Amino acid sequence: MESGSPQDDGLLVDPVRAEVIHVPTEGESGPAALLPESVEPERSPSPMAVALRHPAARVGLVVIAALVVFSYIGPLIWSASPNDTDLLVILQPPSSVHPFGTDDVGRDVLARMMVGGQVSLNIGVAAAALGCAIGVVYGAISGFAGGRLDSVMMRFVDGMLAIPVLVLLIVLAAAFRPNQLLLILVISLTSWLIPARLIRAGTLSMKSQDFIKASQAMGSTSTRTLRRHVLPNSVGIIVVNATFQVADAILLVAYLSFLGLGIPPPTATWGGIMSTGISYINEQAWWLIYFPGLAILLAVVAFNYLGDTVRDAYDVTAR
Amino acid sequence: MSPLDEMKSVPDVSSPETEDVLELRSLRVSDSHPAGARRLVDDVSLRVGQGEILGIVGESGCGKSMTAMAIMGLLPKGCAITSGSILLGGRNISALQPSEYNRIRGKEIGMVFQDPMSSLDPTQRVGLQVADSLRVHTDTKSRAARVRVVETLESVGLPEPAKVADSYPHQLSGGMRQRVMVAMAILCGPRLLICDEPTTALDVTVQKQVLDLLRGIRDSFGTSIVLITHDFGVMARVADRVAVMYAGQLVEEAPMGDFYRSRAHPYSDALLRAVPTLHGTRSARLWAIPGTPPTPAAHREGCAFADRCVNVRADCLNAVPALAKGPSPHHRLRCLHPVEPADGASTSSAEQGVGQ
Repeated sequence: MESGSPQDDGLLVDPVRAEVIHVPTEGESGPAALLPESVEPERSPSPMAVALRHPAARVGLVVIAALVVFSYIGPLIWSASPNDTDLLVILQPPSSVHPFGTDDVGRDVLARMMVGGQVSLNIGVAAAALGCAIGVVYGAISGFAGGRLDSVMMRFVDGMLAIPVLVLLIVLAAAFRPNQLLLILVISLTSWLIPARLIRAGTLSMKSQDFIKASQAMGSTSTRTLRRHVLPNSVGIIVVNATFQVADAILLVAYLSFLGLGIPPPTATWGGIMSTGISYINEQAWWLIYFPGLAILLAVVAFNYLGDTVRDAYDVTAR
Repeated sequence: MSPLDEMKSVPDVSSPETEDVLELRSLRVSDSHPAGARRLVDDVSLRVGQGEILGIVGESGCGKSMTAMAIMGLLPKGCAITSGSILLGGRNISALQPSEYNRIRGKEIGMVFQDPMSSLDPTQRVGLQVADSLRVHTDTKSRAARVRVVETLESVGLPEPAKVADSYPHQLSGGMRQRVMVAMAILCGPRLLICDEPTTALDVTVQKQVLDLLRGIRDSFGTSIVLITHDFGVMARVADRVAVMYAGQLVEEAPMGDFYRSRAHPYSDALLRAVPTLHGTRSARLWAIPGTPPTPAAHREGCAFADRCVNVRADCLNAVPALAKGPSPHHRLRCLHPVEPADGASTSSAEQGVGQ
């Protein structure tokens, strides 16, 4: 999709952004961005298609795809074991044998980075999906029901939001031995609050729209109206929030691992590798900090880019 | 075009020509205002016959839309029918459970909203949305529903109905969207169509087309229509009978011709005089009714229009006038001191003769 026609890339591009993010087609996008916006095509493309025309989305998507390939396909190609120690080669800088170097007990950092990527993506995507699912149902019911039920449901959300997630996770990590499933559950049980609020607000404003009234005037039940009209109209909010949630969850997992409260060793995590790197910072073990740090940064930025552009694309009024 | 024939036959079989499709009996709708329930619709009695188009006119906030919403069973939160009843084909629907009401809405009563721009869900293809009422009320399979939808879209005068069905709302013009809304409302062959200012958001040429369409639907399917508007031009084009509402009350009701010739309520007369004409002198200022409509109240001491009325006398302030027989047959009027017909007292008796 990149090679086809560079001008197309530029059409929907905000010139400022195109420069900021250093898209591959930057050379062309400058002048192309100055072209007037294209006349509305015969068949209007889906919001997703619009989003994917945006270079930022492509960059995000390419990075995410690269991370997925790296984490899940990488171990099939790179045969080094992430957990085999070799005390003869501890803290070695990147070399042809260990492209990302080795850690303090001689484990191959590249292999560990791959496993860490799996952990991050598993938890990030699963927690975001679960959190959003809970939030969407909760928010839609609360907003659509309105009145007293709405007040009660939202005060509960307010109460939950008052609990700092990190503190909760630290307490839980101290009480239980964290594993991926537990982290997914805990993160999603705290992250559904934001989508619940967003969806409730969206539902509230949508409730007064004529097409909701028209749907009721047609004899639809509340459930049907919710399913057929409120939820599809909230897809933008949901998708955008889900991508941000993935980024947040990845970051949260990294914090925890860095603090030694995440998935316990020997399972590799990006945060864990960094944490080791901090301990050996005097030995100049930069590869233990830079590689996982870069991976976290890339993952978070990529999901945020994707979320941003998808949000713009779903904003029909801005088109 | 079998579904259309089917639709055409439905009202004829189920209800004989004489029966009223809709009857409101002393309908009263109140809200729950902290200072006491205010009457938004006050003692409105109306009948709509088979295949009849009843126009309801009045200023904003006089209870037109509230009446429509009461008929649809979609009164906003806090508002409720406090007395009176709504009969649809002789059946009292004002006391139905919400789930029973859902079976009537869309099936027996269709509704066309004011703004076609916002009445269609932007995320769904038009065909799917129109088909929704079939899906809700019947077991029609999606392919059969699609055929029926395309036929209905064609019957409301949309060119290339199959293409329209596959479009998203934003790809259609305002007039096309309002036609889609009409198609949606008549899809299940309702006996009654409620149009709440169906042309207000459209430009004038499209207005005419939509009004002609409504007339056409009445003519071919025998659908009764309640048309709510504040535009007398719209009213004159389609309505058979006119009901004027003011402050939640019905103040005058007459067949179209009688109304234009011999309206007797000062409010009706003032409303008609407020319609700009093409023939006036350039310097003449547009006529406007002084003052604003009263806010809804718990109850009224006298005539609601008294403080804006040119004919007001002392007795107007003492009691709410009753809805009594007007100057011509089938003419009802709520006024103690009606105006003489605009073009002189002499025509009044002559017009009565025409009214017969």
